[in-house]
Amino acid sequence: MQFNSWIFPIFFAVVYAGYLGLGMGRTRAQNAWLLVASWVFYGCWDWRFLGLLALSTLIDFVLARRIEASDDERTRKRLLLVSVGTNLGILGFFKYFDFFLESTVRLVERMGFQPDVTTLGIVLPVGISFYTFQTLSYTLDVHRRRMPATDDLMSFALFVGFFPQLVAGPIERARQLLPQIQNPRRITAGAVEAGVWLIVWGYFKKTVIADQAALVANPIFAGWEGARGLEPLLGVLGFTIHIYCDFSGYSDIARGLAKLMGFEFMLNFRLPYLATGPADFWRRWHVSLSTWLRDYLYVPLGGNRGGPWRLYRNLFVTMALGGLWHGAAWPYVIWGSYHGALLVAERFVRDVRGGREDSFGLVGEWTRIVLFWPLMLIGMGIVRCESVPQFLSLWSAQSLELTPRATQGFGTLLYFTWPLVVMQLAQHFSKDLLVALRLPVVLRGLLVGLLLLAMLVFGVREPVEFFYFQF
Amino acid sequence: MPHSASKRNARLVLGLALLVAVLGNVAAKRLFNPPWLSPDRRIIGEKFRLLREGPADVLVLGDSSAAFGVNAGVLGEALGQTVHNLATFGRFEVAGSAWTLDEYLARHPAPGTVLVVHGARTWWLEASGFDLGLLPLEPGYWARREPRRSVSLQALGEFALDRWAPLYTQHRSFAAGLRGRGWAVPERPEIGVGGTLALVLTEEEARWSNPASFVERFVKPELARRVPGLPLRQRQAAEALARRAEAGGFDLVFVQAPQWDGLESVPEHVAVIDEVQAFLAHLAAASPRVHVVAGGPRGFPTDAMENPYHLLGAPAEGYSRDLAVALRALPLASRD
Repeated sequence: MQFNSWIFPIFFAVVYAGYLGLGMGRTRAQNAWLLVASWVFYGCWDWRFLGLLALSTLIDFVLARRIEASDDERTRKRLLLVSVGTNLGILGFFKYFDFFLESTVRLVERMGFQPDVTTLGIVLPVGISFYTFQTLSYTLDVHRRRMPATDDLMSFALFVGFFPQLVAGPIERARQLLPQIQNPRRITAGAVEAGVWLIVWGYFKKTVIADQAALVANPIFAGWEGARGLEPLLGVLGFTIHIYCDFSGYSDIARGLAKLMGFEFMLNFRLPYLATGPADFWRRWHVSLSTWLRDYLYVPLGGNRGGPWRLYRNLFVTMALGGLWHGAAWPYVIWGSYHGALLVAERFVRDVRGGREDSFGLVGEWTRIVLFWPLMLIGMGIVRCESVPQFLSLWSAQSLELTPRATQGFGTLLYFTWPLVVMQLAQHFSKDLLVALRLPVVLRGLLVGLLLLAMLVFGVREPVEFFYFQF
Repeated sequence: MPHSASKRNARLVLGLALLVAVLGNVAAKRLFNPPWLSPDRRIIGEKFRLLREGPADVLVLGDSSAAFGVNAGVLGEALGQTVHNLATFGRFEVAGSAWTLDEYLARHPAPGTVLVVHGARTWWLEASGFDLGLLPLEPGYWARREPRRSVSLQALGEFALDRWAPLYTQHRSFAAGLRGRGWAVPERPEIGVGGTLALVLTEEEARWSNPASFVERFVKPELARRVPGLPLRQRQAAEALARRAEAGGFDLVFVQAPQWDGLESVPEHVAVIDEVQAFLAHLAAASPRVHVVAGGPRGFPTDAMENPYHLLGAPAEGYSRDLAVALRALPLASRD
């Protein structure tokens, strides 16, 4: 069941009515209701994978309690390794088994052998990368004694499987979400207003901007051999708009739904296309993942301890593995490595200049934003291309020729993207991501109404799957 | 400036937003006359205008194979009678023909002959709420008219969207208009005298026009999902048409529509045609007012067709002349 399917609004209306009907004082009854709803939501894709979700939930619930109960560091570590091994084992099997097998076969073939191996054609359970990292962070935090293990299985199951963020994040931390699940919640007028705004804006970004941009970009990547002139740039630009509006749209809807129910999710995007450099970009893009990677991979690797070269290594390895998290294909690994290299280069320059954090004025800030765009676009091109030859072909085919398709495509992107640009500039200069809520109430109502009308007229009808579902 | 939030404000924002959405659709319906913003609506609008316009000796009802295949002018000339082609789309099922006939009979005396022409595909299609919304009849007409038809909740929702949210159901036209690409008022197919649809393919269309790919893409998958036997709702609709002929004292002639000859090599399609022919023969045997043109559907080669069921203009003229000959061979009471 996707947020942009017909059935979802009906599903949410039923769930929300039941949730409110149970009464805000009856937290456990509400949690039970939300858990059932979440499993129904997930089971709509493939009920068989509910078993995996339950397995992940149960393993980490039990192991975290045993970790907490033990004072012996070796036992605690062993239990943690069981949790990490099981979770990553499941993720590795479903997501990476075929990839590594195929890669190995290709390598062996290059060495002159003809191995008789067939891949298993394993179906990737939707959202597995998200909920695996979410549940892992809980065990890791308990192991680090940053939070107590919970003895409430139902609350923990809801933490792992809460439907708004189950399949595409934000990757929540137990420290933040579990207390919200276990304690009575309040739904304030402010939360409702913010929630409604986030939902409407998220749907607008997804169905109007992202899906229309995809209609521009996808044919270029599908027929990449024939792309010429500015068409490769158009394709990459279209994808850049598509992936951001698609993913941040999903995150906005998830956060909005959560607010309507009295929950507060992590912020996942902070205007990433206004980043002044690679490090700034990763402080703004998919924040719940980048902070996860920082806390549970980069820091354990040594972080910035042990001298600059270890720091560079840790940065690079973290980003390369972050790339692999996104998908079991070499373009993702290359994309992660590319961003790792950018981060290392940026850090190197900073170190050479004595580690100073530059303060730059408005002109300096915008110069950096503009200068970072080409580097970011290259990254987007890498992650969108299905193969290295495709990327190289598009790269070499581009020129400044404004073909008719490019003219039309840029026009379409401009037509659908200007509301995003206006909104992001307002958010940036006001330093307020919910700047729309500052509008007088009548203007706010009109704006929401206009967005609804725009979705009716320009929204792409066929439910186009959210891009990040494949991760 | 801080965010101002209160229950009153939240209600006001939601209320205003919904009001804007509703008013936008009302304005679109009133100002832009949506029936003309899509090919289907334009065709139905024209057919119902013709229906209201005046009586005819012969009415042609049915699906798009009839709308394209039966040339009202040629048939009328051959029969020496006035012919109105009120056929629309197969998506309205056989019931669509009965409902259209009711609209005609409510305004005019019964015609001498009613031709009902359906392609085999119509017998397995099922109307969605969006389809039901296209017919310019009062809401809920499907439950009040013979044959009565039940609709699902989803279809009701679709009907409501179609009727009262034109910005949603005709979004392509409005999107084109708002983007300055001109209102997408369709001019093709041409609607000729007597309601006949005529399509002259451009050279490029002719190159790409391929009934075979239509069969592969739509017909075969639909046949694979089809439950054998004619659906009860379709049979009931044909029986309701027969009852109207008895009551109104006119001849009802069922014709299996012309089709692409490649369909003769699709066994599942042939099976549907046999089922239809057997059912219609049974219906004709039960009433002297009901007739069936013998021989099943006539096949045409690829270059005569736009798709497996739509004849192009010139072959349709020839087919209509042949149809007149077949009609003359029938023992129609209206000719006596």
